[in-house]
Amino acid sequence: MFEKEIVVTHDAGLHARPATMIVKIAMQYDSCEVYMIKDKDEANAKSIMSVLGLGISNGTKLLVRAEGVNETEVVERICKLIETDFDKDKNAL
Amino acid sequence: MKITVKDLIYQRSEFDLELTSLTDETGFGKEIIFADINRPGLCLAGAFEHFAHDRIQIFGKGESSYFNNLSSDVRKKVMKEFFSFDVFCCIFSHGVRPPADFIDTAIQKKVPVLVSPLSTADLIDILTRKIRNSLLPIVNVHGTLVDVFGFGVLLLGKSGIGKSETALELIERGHRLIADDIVEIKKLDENTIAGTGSHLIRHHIEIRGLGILNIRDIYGIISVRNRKKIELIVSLEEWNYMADYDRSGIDENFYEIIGVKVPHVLLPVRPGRNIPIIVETAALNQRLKKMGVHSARELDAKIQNWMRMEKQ
Repeated sequence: MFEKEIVVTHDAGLHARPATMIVKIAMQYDSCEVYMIKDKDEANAKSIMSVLGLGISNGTKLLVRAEGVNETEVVERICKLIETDFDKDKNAL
Repeated sequence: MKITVKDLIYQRSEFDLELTSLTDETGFGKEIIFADINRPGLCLAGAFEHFAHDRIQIFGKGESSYFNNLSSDVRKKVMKEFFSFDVFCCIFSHGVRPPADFIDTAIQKKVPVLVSPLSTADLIDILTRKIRNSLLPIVNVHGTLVDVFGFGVLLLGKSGIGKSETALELIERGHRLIADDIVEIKKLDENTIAGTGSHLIRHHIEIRGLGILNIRDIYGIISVRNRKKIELIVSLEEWNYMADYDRSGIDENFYEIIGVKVPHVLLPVRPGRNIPIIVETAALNQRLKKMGVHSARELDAKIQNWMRMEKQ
């Protein structure tokens, strides 16, 4: 298991578009369970509804956790995506 | 879920406690962990043995007038001893305000003192109900909850196995959606769990290729509901040729969620299997079992009976 904490700095929070970008990354790791955790609530990062349901606004502290093949890579990629403010050019999907 | 003294005052619900704090924000962050309350009558009379000081102390008309009528020496002594315990919180009913020195000492000792215009009976009733309700265990589960023929069916399984698609076809067939993807499950009592959707994404479903759909808008109000008791759990998984799937249905399987055992069916998914119809049938069969009719066992009994007759 690998996990990393990150604070969401995206102005509008994780709305549909940024959430989709996260889900698309997570979906590339078939043999890995990826979760996003806000307080006690856990969302499956491969499900857009699950991620949206967390209601992650600007300033939310988030824990990205993965278990399985390439767990470190997927967590780092998601965190980088959030850090770089969902800039498509810097995160070739 | 956590409930604090502050929540008692500000959390709006159907029944309001109409509480006002007499000690400003003293002890607002205290977390309530006991649903039962204590009437401090005996303490006021000087009997402090087994004083349940960690419960909410309710001062009714009786306690208040007894306390106020004590001679000032006795009152001071009682108050000193009362606050020598780590008292959790005091609530006065009927809008009766305690004397000023009581409030001062409470502030010193960081004990919140609240007052409510309600009668003691109403106060205790609403208070216990409110606390009990917030103390119920809750868990979030990745799954889809549908009401099938009035029977709460929770679909579980990996992302992409077809939970949402199954739900969509069930809705199309006249059943109702409660929650897709995140189901918030609350334990109502030892044998009952109920599920509801996250308030942000309630009644929405994501279908690969279509995106996010608002089921209530597409199919109308009849296609959704907000909460449902979970009476059957169906796990969907990719067909595994090595797995040992139930072929007779003689034995009952259960799936445990927050300590409640719910009847469980494991369904292998394969092209050509119509999962929504199987889920519908599973729900009907479960209803039948609940009414005392067990198809598999009855057939088995019939066969065994026939074999006995044949032997004779």
